[in-house]
Amino acid sequence: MIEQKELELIERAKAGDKKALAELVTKYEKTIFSFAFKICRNRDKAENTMQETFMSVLKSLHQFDGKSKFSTWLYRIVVNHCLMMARSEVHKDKFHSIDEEEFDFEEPEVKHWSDLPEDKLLNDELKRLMDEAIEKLPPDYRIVFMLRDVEGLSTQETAETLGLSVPAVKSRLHRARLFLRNELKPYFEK
Amino acid sequence: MNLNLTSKNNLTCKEVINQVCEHLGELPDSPLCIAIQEHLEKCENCSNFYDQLEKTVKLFREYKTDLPDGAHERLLKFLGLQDKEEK
Repeated sequence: MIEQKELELIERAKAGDKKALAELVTKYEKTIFSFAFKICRNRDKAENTMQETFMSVLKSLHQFDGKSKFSTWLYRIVVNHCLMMARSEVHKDKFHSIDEEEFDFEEPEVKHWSDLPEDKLLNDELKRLMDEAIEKLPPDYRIVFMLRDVEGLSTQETAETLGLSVPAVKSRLHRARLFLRNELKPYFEK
Repeated sequence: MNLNLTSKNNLTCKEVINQVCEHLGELPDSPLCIAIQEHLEKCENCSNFYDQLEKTVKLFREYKTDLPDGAHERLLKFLGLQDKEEK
């Protein structure tokens, strides 16, 4: 259920109150930039996506009916912009093929990834590996992983945001998690 | 089954199995779910694998980035909303 205070802000923005619009943009700009960055892994592209997302929001705010969370509605718009950008990129072959076979894992021994001290967490080498892993993941899978696991939307909300069935979300999430785990494995087991 | 869950989230092994089985569309007392439970109880590989998935998600959750300098002002200007902020 959308908060009354936020609903009032949205209604003022819908009525053309530019201060309310600026307040709404300021409230959500970090969320949208952060999400766009997680998808495209490039700060300039993420900023461009954020600007285009909010331009779309301004144009279609009158269509927001308050039945879903405002953030869910925003995610739907930013996801569309991220997908449009990803599909317009020339090097589509950089994405890894996600199929069942590659997860038919027969590892004789699954090692315990030892707990890393704080200063080793998210160092440059690991960040680079994470960037490369995410870039290999096809956008359709990347977006499900980011919405569900990183942004913390429920499976149902993720499905509604993307226009997918709940089983489809679960399946893509499962494959994305396995793919990313496989990509990080060399770092933890070297 | 040791999936490092009980102490963290107060989830019991039975609840975890129920979740796994629900995901598979199986009843908790179905032969498949019973076999899964029996396997997990003694399988260190599966326990480690679950832990690896959990760490993978945690790392991506912690990898955050700030709004670039000046991005807020550029955004408001792009939208024609500069000078509309509450001071």
